Amino acid sequence: MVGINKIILEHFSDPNNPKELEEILKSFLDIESSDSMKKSGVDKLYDIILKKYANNKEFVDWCENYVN
Amino acid sequence: MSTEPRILIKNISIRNCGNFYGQHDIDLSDSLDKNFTIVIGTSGMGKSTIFKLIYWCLFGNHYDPKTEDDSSDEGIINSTLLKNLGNGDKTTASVTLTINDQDGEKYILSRTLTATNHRETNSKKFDEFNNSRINSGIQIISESKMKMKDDDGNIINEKDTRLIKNAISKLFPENLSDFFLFDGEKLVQFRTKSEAAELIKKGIEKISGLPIVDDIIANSKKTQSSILKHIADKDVDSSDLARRLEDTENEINEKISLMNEKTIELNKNKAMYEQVISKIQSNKTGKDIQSKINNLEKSRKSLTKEITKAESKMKDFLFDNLPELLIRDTLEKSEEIFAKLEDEDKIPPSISRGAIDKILASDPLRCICGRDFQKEDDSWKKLDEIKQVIIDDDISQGITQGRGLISQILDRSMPKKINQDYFDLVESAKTNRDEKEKILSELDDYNDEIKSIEFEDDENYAQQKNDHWEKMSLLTAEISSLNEDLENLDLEKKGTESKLTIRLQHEKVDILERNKISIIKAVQKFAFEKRSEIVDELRSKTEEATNKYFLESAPEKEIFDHVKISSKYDITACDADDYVKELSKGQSHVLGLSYVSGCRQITNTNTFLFIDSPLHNISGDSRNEISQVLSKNLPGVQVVLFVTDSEYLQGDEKGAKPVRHYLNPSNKVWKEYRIVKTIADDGVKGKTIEEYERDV
Repeated sequence: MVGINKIILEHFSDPNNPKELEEILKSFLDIESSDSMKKSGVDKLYDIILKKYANNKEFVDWCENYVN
Repeated sequence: MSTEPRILIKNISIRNCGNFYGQHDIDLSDSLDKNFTIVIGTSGMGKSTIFKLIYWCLFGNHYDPKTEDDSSDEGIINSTLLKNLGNGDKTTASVTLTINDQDGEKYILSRTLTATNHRETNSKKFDEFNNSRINSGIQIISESKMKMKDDDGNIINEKDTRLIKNAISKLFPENLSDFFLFDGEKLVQFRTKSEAAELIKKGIEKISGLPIVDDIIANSKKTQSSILKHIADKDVDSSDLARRLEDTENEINEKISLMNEKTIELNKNKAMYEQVISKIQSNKTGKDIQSKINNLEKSRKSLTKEITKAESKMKDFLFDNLPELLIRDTLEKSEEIFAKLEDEDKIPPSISRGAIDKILASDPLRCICGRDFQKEDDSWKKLDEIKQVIIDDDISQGITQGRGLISQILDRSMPKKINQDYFDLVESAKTNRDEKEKILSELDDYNDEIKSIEFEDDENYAQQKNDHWEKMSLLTAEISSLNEDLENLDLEKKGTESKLTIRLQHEKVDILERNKISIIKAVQKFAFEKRSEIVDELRSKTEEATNKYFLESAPEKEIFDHVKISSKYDITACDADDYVKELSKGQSHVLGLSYVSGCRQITNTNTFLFIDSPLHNISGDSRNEISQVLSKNLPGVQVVLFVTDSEYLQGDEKGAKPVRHYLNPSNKVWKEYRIVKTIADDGVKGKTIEEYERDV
């Protein structure tokens, strides 16, 4: 397990953003910091996490506005 | 001082490793006052070997991992033992570290390699454990052991490498090892801008743990592509677009990788170029000529900027004036026709309704030409008729406005004036270009003069300088061309992406898949923005911390006002007017050590600091300054210095006293060790570590 630096966690945690974004980032950080994870299948794991939030219309709208 | 608990290595025990045959122990200081331990050894005696063995024992990885191509026969296990290993024989080599915190012993960590010779053969193979070439018949196994306390406080001997790694990484993160196991030769990099920038960039990435954010960004992009491909596979046209997108992405990745290679090569060349310049400057004549070259280079750069600015101004000028100049003849003819039509009363005069109303409202009635007139005058009647025409016919307004515009353009586009202004710009650019040509010719002359200098080592530095310069120019051009390609490919990618998105929306594909893409895009954007923020914050913190130590400790510190680390990680020490000061070798080393001390402060590290060769390649005075900086900046930190006899025990011909004089054993140094050659009882030649006792 690679330690996640405090500065990254501090910057990734923004109270102005939806909590869902922080949750996703936290899950991604866990995946990336794990020693046992096979690096070739990470996109599949990301996909599984995204699926959990894909029905949350309010969050998806926020994402669309944020990107545009 | 850091608020973190104090962590130190109390004892190093080396058995049959490197040149050290048999068992060798070094006790290190745990004193807060006498916090220095010195390991002395002439070049090649094994100082760096001990340093690397500590790294290997702590992390289970090699400090300088070798490959099949660049490995030698020297590895972890003593090479004489390996060479003499008979068929069926075994030998072991180990390093044991006793790690203490402020309460005493915390861990005893051991790494052991056991080599067994299974068959006699002359062929060789590369062995990763030993980090060297070994006889093909030998098999090496690695074992780790750590004496530690379990959750209930019972002492256990842990052998699970994963658990050992977890416990060690909490105390000593391997990515931050530079800040507690520092290779002093890296201090030399602070003499050259590009190498120092590379070191700082890597340092900031290590402190922040940014690679993990980079992984998130890269894998988010990969996930987005996978989702898009998955959706597109359901339709032929979309599938084509998705394939095209993938091809473009692959091409982008290839270009990026090529650009990274070229950038690394460019940085290497820059570093080599700066080293050549430093060699040239080590000769008195070379220093004088190079100083003139540096001044001319500054003027050349400033003129190049002026020329670029003038060329851009000329382009803007032509863009603004040329179209009006080109249509001037046509406009003049139009104006003649308008005037004729006006004379013939076929169109109303060029005057607005507002202006006529103003005239009609004036008292006494006064024309714009200044003539007073009565309401019975013909002029009045004429004016009234004109007003009527203007009011009656909207077109007349257009004509009036058009004529006004024509008149403005004709006033602006005076050919003589434009010609003169343009000529002035051309002249100014030409003067700068002539000046630059002159400077380039002078630079050629000075570079030729360098050719005639005879350097002590007979090297042709003028040629080397020229070769590096040409290579750098070529690489810069290649990188710039790759950048252009990348910009074009990025546009192409965005275009294809947009087409694909529209197509997929049109096809009413699974809304969930589309939503996933929206989310992953937001994650990418957010992570990217935060990455920049983190880098900026750490750059600024590193600058602040380095600044603090440097201004307290630099030789001739009064000439400096602040240290700056630019957005490109260039580190410079400046005076109060923000002018970058040239640094001596000693000052560069202090800047490097200030950077290490600063980073330790940022990471709140109170771990030991072992420095291999901190006094390498600097004058006696500078060595003394560095040693004082170390003793001043690291109070209470366990410091172990690996130095050569001449660096530590001797002064120099200019009268500088030995470093030992400043780090006097009665003052800061707890113990001194010396590495010496020895012959063991069984006749094997090797090195041993003995305490160095000498009257000061």
